[in-house]
Amino acid sequence: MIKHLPIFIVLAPLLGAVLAALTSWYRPKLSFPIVLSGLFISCLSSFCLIFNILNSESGVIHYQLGGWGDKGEYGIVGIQITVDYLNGLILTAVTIISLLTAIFSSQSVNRELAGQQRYFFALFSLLVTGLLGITITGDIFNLYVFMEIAALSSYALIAYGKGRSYMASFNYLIMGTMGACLYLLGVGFVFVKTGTLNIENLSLLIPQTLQTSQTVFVGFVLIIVGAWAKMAFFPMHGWLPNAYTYAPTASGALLAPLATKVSVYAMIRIMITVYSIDYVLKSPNIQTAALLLSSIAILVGSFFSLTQTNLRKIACYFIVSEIGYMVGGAWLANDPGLKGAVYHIIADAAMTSALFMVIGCILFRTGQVELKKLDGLFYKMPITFIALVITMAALIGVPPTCGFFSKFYLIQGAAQAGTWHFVGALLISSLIKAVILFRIIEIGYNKVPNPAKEGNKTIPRDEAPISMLIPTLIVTLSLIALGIFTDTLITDFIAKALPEIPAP
Amino acid sequence: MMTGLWSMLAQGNLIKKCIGMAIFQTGIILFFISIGAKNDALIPILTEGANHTFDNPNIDKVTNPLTQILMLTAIVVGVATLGVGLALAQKVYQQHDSFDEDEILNNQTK
Amino acid sequence: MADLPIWHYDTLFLILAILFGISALAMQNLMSAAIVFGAYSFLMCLIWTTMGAVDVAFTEAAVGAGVSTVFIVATIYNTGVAATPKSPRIAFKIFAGLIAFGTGAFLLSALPDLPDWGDPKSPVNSTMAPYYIANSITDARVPNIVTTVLADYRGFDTLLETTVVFIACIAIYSILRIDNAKSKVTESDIITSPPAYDPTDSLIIRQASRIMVPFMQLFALYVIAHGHYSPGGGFQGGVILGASIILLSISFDLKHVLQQWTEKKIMILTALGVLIYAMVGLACILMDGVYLDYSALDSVLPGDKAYARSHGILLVEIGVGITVMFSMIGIYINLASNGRFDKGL
Repeated sequence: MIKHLPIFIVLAPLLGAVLAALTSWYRPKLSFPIVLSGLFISCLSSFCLIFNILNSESGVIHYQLGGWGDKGEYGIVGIQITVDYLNGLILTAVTIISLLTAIFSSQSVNRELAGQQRYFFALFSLLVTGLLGITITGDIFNLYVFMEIAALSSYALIAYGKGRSYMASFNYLIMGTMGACLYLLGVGFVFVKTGTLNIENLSLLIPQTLQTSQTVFVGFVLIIVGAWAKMAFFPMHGWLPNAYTYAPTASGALLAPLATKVSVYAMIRIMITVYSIDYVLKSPNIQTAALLLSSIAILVGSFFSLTQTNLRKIACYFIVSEIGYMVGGAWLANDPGLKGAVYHIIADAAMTSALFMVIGCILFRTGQVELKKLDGLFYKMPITFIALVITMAALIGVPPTCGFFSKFYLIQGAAQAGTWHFVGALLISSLIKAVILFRIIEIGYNKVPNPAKEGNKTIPRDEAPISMLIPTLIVTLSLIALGIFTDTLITDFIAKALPEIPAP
Repeated sequence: MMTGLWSMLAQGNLIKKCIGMAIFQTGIILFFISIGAKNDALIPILTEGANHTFDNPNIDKVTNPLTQILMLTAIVVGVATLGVGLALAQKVYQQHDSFDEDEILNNQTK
Repeated sequence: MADLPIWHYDTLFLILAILFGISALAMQNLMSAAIVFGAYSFLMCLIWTTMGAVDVAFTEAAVGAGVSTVFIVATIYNTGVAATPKSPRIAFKIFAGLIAFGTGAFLLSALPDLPDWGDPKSPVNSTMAPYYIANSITDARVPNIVTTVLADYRGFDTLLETTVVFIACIAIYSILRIDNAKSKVTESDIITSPPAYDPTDSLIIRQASRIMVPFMQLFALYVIAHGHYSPGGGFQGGVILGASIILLSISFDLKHVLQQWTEKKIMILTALGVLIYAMVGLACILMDGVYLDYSALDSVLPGDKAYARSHGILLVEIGVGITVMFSMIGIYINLASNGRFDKGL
């Protein structure tokens, strides 16, 4: 069965979703446990897989779907699943976070979407399938199909939010489809010169023989721009804040940490495996443009977050700026920059997940997340509030948390490449996040509603239910744990995942 | 194809955005199919013929099947997206009684 | 190339198609835009036939020109036809035009580098594709190479594609259906515009469709079952089956159809198709094969390993057909009745 682990990672949530959709007509209560067990199997398989990779010599595991392998001069004719250190790590992160989010969301779904949750968990599971598929696949066209699976289910998940979420979801659909179409066109341009869709075959062909081909270059730009549209990178970020703000809590908590990060992974995969670092370094115009755009993205995201009064909107603009970190780090195309970018994918997935879970907890108890109405939150929901402060600290980059280390690597990379505007943007964004953190502390801790006036001595404690609190705490503590184990993570996984990088 | 891209960006009307999306997709499909075409080639269904046998087909005389599969997938994905887009558009229309983007924006900020 | 008159038609079709595409977007009346879009799709499918892509053309005719147009018309029927923009937004349009034009110019910059049109030795035609053409018969005993590649060599793509259709169906169901179940009161507020046109009960249409539907369904079954030897397969057959039911519900009314195909039946069958496909793959693992390696099924299916593949393909095509058929019906009913499942076009 070890041989089949890679396919189970994708298949378990897919089957879970289909079965949940079937049973929802007979026993609606059953669909949640089915989806949960699917996600659990997937999580377990990804753990086993990562240990297998650690033990294997090559560090790569292949799985040939349909049994079609390498056919000599024709290349690999079937679809191949490839797992190495890079996507093994991300697969594990995605499965853990989606499992925790599923546990987290059961209560809030029951309350927010009472009477209409028939297909919610099926779509939830299908979204996870899509995201895992994007990460795991070794075929650029297959990646497009997975992209669409993830996209279609996320449109529906956002539209569960009612009201303004319909328009937000429609805008996301237009932007997302445009991104996917550009990606597909890019695949076409690469395909026309290479004749293969397999990432492994492409990685042999492109850096060697097609360095100077204009067609391949056009394909490269199209794929990258398509991925940018999907991840809400700066000029195309308009859809994200509305979509994630008006989505139901559970959808937001799943989409925000994972959807954009997986697109970043896809971009890095195309950059370093399909094309190569050499190729990236030899197209300096795009590199400059990408770095400039990421600096702008970081600044725009941070400044907009400062102007918002709704905690969820603030969190959404944080995502926009965090995307800037990762894209910038990847496009620095040097060793610390790429390490920082990959590390930040994991770290940011955990941070955003924690942030949205905390917001979900607050929303569940108080019904709103307007900043100025959060007064006395520390007394009402102490655990949630502490989790919020830790998460914010991680986002700022306070030392023991993982946010510090990713920023450390990113700044090191930027300094090495001499991209000072990126360093500046990183520091300014940290400052702005610190300002927001102190605002939250001021409101939540210092602004206590006068108990004497209201007649009761203490503010009644009103924590979120335990099924929401535990996932939140696990993710929050993992932020510190990730920070402590940074060294292991970098040397044992990320350093092995990245190819040899030529000295500047 | 550029028409479709332009309309997705510029059209204010939601339905027209959907149509533009579909046109953009057919543009891409056209590109793929044309790179798989061969001069004087037959359709990719094998038959017994003069210089052409079941077990040993004349490869240069059969159109590339691979690009066609890819585009079959793309067409089906396209119609799925179109359907979801139209459903969302209906919902937006119910709320705002309009397909016009500016009008919806005005309604929302009110 | 010059002695082949067919290419002249090709150019003609292409020019016409572009004209239709532009005019579909320029129309003020959304209903005409939808119809012109249907014509555009149909022209595209002629172009693909001339390029030898019969399966794609078949799918485009069924999906693009047929079902898509019906979906758009159904949406417009529930909303309004006029598309008069309140503000012209000229500056924005010029800006968007520049972006589109820039992208186009960027794409054209690769033109000199592209292989010649129709060159059998281009990378695309000489890398992976020859394997499929040379081995389709020996590997799976299927003359229609498109079917082999679709359901076997790249079967995983097709499983996911079926999943996409399934997702679209349940996504639309969740978007449209739910809201109306609880807010019956506001229904009168929702329908503010009159229907785009009066649905008249025409005897001719009713009788004609009553005669046509059985033949359509028979043809669709043939398309699924005979997909190994002729253009067609699960997708095309499924769409035609779906279209036959949609035709019934247009010419009679939705209630008539819903008596036979209840909401529950449709939604369950949609999921069932994906389940069949995924389970065939899982069965391959249980029989010591790799996922979707139908040759592992040779001990249960008749014939040798190659025939097992052929039969495996048929099994998954049936799964695809079921999902596609009921998804199309489900999507249509939701769109046409605005999620109320009572009356449609």
